[in-house]
Amino acid sequence: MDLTQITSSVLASGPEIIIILGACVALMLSLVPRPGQGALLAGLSLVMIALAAAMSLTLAQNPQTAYGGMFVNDGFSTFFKMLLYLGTALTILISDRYLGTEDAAKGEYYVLLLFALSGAMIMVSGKDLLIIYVGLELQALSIYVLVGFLTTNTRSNEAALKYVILGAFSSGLLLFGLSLLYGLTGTTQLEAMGEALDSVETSSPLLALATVFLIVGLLFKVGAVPFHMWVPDIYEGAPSPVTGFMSTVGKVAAVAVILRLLIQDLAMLDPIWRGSVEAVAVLTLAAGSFAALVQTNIKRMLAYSSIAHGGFLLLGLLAGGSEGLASVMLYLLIFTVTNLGLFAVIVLLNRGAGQGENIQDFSGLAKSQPGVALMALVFLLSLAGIPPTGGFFAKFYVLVALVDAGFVLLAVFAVLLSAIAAWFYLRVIMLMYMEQNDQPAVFQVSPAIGWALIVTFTGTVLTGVLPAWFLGVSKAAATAGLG
Amino acid sequence: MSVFAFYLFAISAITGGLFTVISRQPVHSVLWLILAFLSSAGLFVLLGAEFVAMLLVIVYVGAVMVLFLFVVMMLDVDFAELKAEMAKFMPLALLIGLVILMQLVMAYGAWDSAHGASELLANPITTEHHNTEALGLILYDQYFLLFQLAGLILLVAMIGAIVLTLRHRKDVKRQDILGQMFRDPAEAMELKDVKPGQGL
Repeated sequence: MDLTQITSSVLASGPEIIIILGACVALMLSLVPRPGQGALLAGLSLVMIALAAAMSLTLAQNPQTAYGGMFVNDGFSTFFKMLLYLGTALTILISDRYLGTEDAAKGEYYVLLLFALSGAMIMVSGKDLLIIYVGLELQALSIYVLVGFLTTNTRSNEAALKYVILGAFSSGLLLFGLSLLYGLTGTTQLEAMGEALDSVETSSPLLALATVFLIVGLLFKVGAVPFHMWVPDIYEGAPSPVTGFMSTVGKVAAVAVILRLLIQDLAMLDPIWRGSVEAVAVLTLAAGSFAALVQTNIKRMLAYSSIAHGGFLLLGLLAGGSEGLASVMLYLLIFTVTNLGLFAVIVLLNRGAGQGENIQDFSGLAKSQPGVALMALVFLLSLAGIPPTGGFFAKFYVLVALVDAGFVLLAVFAVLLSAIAAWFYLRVIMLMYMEQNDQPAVFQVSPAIGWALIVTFTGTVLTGVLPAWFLGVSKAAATAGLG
Repeated sequence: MSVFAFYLFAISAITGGLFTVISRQPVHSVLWLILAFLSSAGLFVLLGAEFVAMLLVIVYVGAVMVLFLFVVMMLDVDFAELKAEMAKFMPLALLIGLVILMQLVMAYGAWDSAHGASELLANPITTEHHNTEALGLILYDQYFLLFQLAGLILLVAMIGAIVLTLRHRKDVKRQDILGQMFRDPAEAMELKDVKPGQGL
């Protein structure tokens, strides 16, 4: 690379550099303990995210590859980066209060969140298997630490240890698949790999083995059945904002990689994985919906709910084409705002030391906090997929894409299972509005959480009112990705 | 001469590896592992990859192994008991290992090397650069981004290790330097006007 190439590459990865610089500055500032430090670091992180978002939007105007074709800025990666910024910003807004009530306020929290964000951004911009893998590890390592952030809480420690072991195991599987692909094609760059694989027979056992390891590693990361065993324990043990972060930002980045690999650059692998992913999608929907019915802890219930939502994302992947791609991207947008909104309510209900995380704690909320209860109602309806909230259209467009692609049976099955899944969301709503509570939840909504609630509430309602506009945006990004 | 050196290093590497696994004393295992590393460093020198050989000695033997020795000496772990625990899962582990091995053997049967790979294997090192130089050219040029990101991952690992293990216990008296420096004389002292013969 000569000097002009280096300059243009550094410019192209500007948003990542801004976030990493922000993390380093926050790390320095966190060494000087003083009152109001949490708010200062949160503010700094939000400013850095806003700067990076502005730069991403500017860069999106002329799509380009950088670092010798390893890194790409296109409409596809920009759409996903916007989702990542949104998810991280909302997580930061709901974190300060939670760290206060759990007495775990440390400056490194925001540093690690920013590093996780930069890892996720590198994953969605990666055009090379090595870059994608390194981004994945950067993101995963930061999240491992965040999961164990409540050092005095044994459930948090247990979750972190489980996550490290299973995460390392799944990364190993993924890496093995990647190394086989490299052995088959002699390159790690996705475009060159796609060209090299065009001449390889899809019946080749080595290619099949590589694809199996690749798919299993990736499905582990999104928590699809039967690779979902880690999800409930870790979602329950992690600090609530981190759970929200993992279920949105972590999932968005992993799905972006899946879409980039399986639908765009390595589309020729389709006949190898289609059958097994169909089975996995159906199992994921069924297991997630049924297991959530019997949960008593709200975070555990949302863990199974996010597994079931992962099933819907896989259905969009199966539909394929720009329609399927756009429907998955819209689904992720709506899921991010809705899920983080609900996590904001969970943070409000938290009374420290893991108290206030039972589903029963929602009972009588409509009496004591009518405003928050109304917002929680909208989020739950959206997760259940009931019109006119955004969640309905998210599911609707996935099903439309599925029927258009000719998978009518799968679509019917998905509708039946989401009707079952609606029950456990409705149960929380019934608790809030029908039940009495002797000790109603008492809390003040802090300004930061208030903003998070307003943004997520508006997002959930707007996507329900103007779904066509949002679909248009994601369709434009999807076609840019398919190139 | 080089054939003799190769067999010397190869045999000592294999012996080191073998005794690492079978020694009963964990400290002995670590020492055998050092022998294995040193011998493989010798093998790298024979291959003309002196930079990798030096790295192996400095990083693995010099730093990682010393750390291992400390961990092994400081942790009170009964390795015999651990091995007995592991033996319970042996049949299952063997079965899974066998299945994966079979799959690999089947896949290897269909192996088709990439175009030009055999020539690369015969001449792994470019002759125009020193091999330290050649590595540097690749790491700081073609794989510049990956190199930086790997550094970031190490930074996160370091932050994580400190965050998860450093605990400020509130019941332990320790010097709070910042607190001392930012102490305000106006608030630190309180003047009392004590009347004679009354006390406080």
